[in-house]
Amino acid sequence: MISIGNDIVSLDHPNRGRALDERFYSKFLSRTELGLFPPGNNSSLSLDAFIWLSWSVKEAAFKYLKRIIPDLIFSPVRFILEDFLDLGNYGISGSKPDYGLFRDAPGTLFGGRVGFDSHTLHFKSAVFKGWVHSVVLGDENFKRVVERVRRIDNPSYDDQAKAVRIFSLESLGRIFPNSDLQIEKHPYGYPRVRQKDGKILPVPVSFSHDGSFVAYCFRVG
Amino acid sequence: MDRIAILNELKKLLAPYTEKKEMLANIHEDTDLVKDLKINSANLVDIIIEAESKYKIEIDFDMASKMYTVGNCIDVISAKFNQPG
Repeated sequence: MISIGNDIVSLDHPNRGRALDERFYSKFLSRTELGLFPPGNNSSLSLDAFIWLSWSVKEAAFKYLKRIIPDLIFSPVRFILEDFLDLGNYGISGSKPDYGLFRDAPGTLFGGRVGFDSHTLHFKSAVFKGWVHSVVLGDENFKRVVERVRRIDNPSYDDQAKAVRIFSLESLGRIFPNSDLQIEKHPYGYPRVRQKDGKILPVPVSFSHDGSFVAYCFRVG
Repeated sequence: MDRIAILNELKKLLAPYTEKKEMLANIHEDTDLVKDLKINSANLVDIIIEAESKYKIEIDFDMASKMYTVGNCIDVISAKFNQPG
């Protein structure tokens, strides 16, 4: 089964300041994982951004696997960061990510692997001012992934959920015109896209939102 | 501390993390923190830490991963709270 997962964390959220509290990060990061920080001598990544990036990778990995293991429950400590690389401003598999409104903002990309039982997954993460976003795949081919982060005015849960569906349909509609696409939720909880002929579009999508940011990604081809 | 008392305390503890106030007022043991109360998963760790502080207990990794419904939360808190010594 093809799958994809993503997660965004708003670094401006009032509770995000807790990241450096050991009681907080020790709930989901082992000493071995903490040893992956910093990712290289010249990395500008701060420890709190690393902690939230690690969280977003684990959450995105959970979303990826939820399609494959329907009864999976999110237990972040069971998702293990195996390696963690600073990829600079652009980069994994030669792709240049496009963060829409944020394409001209300074940001740094990171990549690596995350394990869960016998599964080894691959992640690509971006750290920009104010947010961290991660995408997880079962392989390293991020070239076919469309990922976008958008800022919204009203950060209420209902508005976040509505906005991310509208934005993703706009993006999917450009790639699949005349398909009259609709987003629906699979009984297991993940989103899927239905075409006007009633068939499910064979494109895995993933949504996330936190605070004033919403994000979506999907994999084509 | 009985389960109803813990449930009532949980309502106060969860309040800052959910916009679904009506749902919160009517929570029961099957209420799912993420699906029903729409609590962001990143806040689940905050809730666990607050529960630790409030009840002066320590919730380990395995226990924490079971706290996805109100009933599960009560199970974990009650087991820890009533632990001897």
